Amino acid sequence: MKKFIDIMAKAYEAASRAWKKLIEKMEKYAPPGWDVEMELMFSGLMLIIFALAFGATFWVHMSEGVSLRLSSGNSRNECESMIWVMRNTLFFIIPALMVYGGYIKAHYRSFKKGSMAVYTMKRVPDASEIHRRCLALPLGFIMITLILAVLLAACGMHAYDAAVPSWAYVRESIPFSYWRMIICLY
Amino acid sequence: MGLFGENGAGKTTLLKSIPGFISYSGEILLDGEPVSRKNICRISFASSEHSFFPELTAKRHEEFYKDHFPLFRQKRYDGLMDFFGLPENKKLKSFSTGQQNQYEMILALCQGADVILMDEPFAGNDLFNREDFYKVLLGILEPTESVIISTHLIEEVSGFVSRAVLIRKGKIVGDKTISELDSEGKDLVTFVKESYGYSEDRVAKALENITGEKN
Repeated sequence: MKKFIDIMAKAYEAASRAWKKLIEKMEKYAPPGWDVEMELMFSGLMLIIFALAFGATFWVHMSEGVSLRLSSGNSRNECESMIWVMRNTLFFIIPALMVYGGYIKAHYRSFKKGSMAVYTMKRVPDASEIHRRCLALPLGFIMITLILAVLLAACGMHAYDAAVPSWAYVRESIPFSYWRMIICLY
Repeated sequence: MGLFGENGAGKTTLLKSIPGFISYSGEILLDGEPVSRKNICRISFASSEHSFFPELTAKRHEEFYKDHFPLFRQKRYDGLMDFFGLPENKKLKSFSTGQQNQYEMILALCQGADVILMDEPFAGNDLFNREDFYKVLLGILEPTESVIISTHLIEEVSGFVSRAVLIRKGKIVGDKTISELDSEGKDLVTFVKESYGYSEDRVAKALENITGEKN
């Protein structure tokens, strides 16, 4: 037991050191004095909540669809569910993107808050420095969010495909593929 | 060089135009070259609005300046921090106004620039602070460094400016070196008053109009 506690304590220390190092590195991509740790934690938490919320709502949607089919023997319109998956993914992406837009605005504004530090940034030899510090983290978050959205949508599609037997599809002739998403949108 | 003028004369506008903080028409040259990212670090700027990062400590500022300004004057920085007794590990937003002004000037003097712009740098500082600063400034400046200072404290700075430029409504209305003024037997305050057409009996006339009594 003592050995296990020691291992856990060491792992915690190593994780703390790695986290601190990450924060120090990220500070070069944020306005000087910006609370990078808070921004990273908030964004991470937001993405976890969005992913869980997506999973939960998808589960409810699937359960409703399957029970409807079993009780009535009706076929299911696959496009309806695909659009549901995409619409729900967007439902979570849009607020996230709005938050990241807010970060960008707040980053730029921070150079005029409490002082006119923007004058220092304008004297720095590298003209891109201010933009790098204002855009890098939000753009990174946007990329992570889009990747997560694609993964969630793909998981949703595959789960739907695995759970609903082919005879229940209205459009059986079209095999499952990402192209179907585009067809469905039309 | 002292830059003098009434409120709204255009002193701050001129100082902010030099490094290109605001847009302007015309041309500003630094040793014959337009001011650009290539040579902008030859210009430093101390302002009463402050240009430091309030959330950073002095220590972190020092690191930022060392990273971004290759000619950062470390020895001068250490000496000035020691002289003013400013704390290294306290966020600048927690400094008093006087300390913030001092730190703003320290950064401007230590950036490694040879044109140092100071816009009302003593706003909020007491007389002792200002006197200390004048003494230090005179002692540390090298012949390659030029300070352009905009202030209303004409009498206080008259002892250490070598040239006075007067601005009124965005135009230069007077430009003389102190040695020219000396040879004319005038002091800086007289020169400013004359250039501005200051009427000595202005106050007496105003009082007469207000009170109706002859003074």
